[in-house]
Amino acid sequence: MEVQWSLIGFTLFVALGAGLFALQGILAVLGKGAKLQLPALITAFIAIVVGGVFSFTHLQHWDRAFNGFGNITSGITQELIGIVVVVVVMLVYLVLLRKGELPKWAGIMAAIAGLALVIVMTTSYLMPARPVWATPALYLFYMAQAFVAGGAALWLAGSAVKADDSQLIAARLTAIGGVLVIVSIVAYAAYISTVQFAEVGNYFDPTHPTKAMTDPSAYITQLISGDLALYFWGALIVGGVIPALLGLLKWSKAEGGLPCAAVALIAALAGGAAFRVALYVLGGSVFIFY
Amino acid sequence: MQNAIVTDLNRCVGCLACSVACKAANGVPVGSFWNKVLRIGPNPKSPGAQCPDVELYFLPLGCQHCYAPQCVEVCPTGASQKVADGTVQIDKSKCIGCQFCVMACPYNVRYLNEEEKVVEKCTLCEQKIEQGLLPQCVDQCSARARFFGDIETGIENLEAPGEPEDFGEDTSYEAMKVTRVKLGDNVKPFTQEQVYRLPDVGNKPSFAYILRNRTWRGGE
Repeated sequence: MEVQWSLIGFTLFVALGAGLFALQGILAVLGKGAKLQLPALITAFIAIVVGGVFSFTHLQHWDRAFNGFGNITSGITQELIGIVVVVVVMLVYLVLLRKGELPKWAGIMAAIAGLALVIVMTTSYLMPARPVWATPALYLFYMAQAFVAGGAALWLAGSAVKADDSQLIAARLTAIGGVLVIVSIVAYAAYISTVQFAEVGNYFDPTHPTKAMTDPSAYITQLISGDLALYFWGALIVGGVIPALLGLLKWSKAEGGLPCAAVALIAALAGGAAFRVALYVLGGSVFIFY
Repeated sequence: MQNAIVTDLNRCVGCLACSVACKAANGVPVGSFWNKVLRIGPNPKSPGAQCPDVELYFLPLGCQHCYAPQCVEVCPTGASQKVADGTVQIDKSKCIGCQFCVMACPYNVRYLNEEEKVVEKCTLCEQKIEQGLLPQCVDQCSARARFFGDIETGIENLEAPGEPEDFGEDTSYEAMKVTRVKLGDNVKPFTQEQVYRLPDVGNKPSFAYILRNRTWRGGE
């Protein structure tokens, strides 16, 4: 399947925004990081807006975008509702933040809203027609990726405003997020090796006379050592191992966290984008020969 | 009611007349194929068999006008909809070109019209069937392998253009266009086990294929 860069940008930045919002909510519950709450909230909001802009670039007729969205079974409609709900929760969060100390329930609300948005976003891609996507491993990957990107962004915000009580927590969250990304990608690779497609043996498609026959049994080889290896290992090493190592490096030392946090965030986003590319390339339909 | 097409694959000769007819009748853009014909095979008749012990068949493919279409489920604006005759149609004025329906379709039969910026697919020639005519691919099937009608009345009752001897005295083009034969009266006998559908991932395709004495490939 063709790589859909707009949707990659959408899911990447929405995951960043939702992950960051959820994790800053957890910090609020722990009573930490008061100094970083506002910059983190603004960053999370911007990330979700950027994601929304990406999704609009995917539409061929964005001028008609608000004609509909009446079909509640549509993943796009659910994503739109999810984003609106998260933005409303962000506004409530902002008002509470400006009033003074954040109540714990506001943090819980942010964590639930952020997590729910990642779940809604993932659900819209769980299409039975695309066996490579239709797996709980997709939830694991998107949540892990939201965790690591959100953790790294939180770490960056904390380092930038010198929020001493939360930098270590954010660094540790980034490390845990990196490990989760590694686990989720390995789980995904294990799943892909078991995916079943309808097989027809030899075939010929006169509309693509020079195209080689598709061999879905070669998917796992393509991912591990074939033309997608760069994306797979890039996602694993850049998107998982590097943030995990940087987080571990600063597990108990806040000094010098800013460049580490910045690199971790860039790595988390680059790795997340790389794995999404692989998912699109492998996202053939169940009746892959057509 | 569920309008559908049943194809007798033992008759299909892979002439591509249905593909060409569809293109001409519906103005299908270059690069899009609302109906195309795959050759399945040659494959060994039994495991390990060598040529000449091989077999093949041709498989005309298009929108299967599913009972539970995933494309309709994922469409955010309701542009893709299941209409009263059971077919799946696209209201182009509502389509925003998000292409989620393209991703949700198990058969890859939806195409983005680059000029109009909307998604298109087989309409089962709604402009013709509303006038009591047959879809163009059924009309022009050179092997009389394709039969159209309400599949809920039984596939034996689906219809194709009539045999020349049925025209009677009037052998005009107009008479030919309205003369019909029923599948049950026209094709060789088959059993229910010889009626196949494309792989179903919950979408419940309505189209069916009859294949005798050969191995159906691709699962159901």
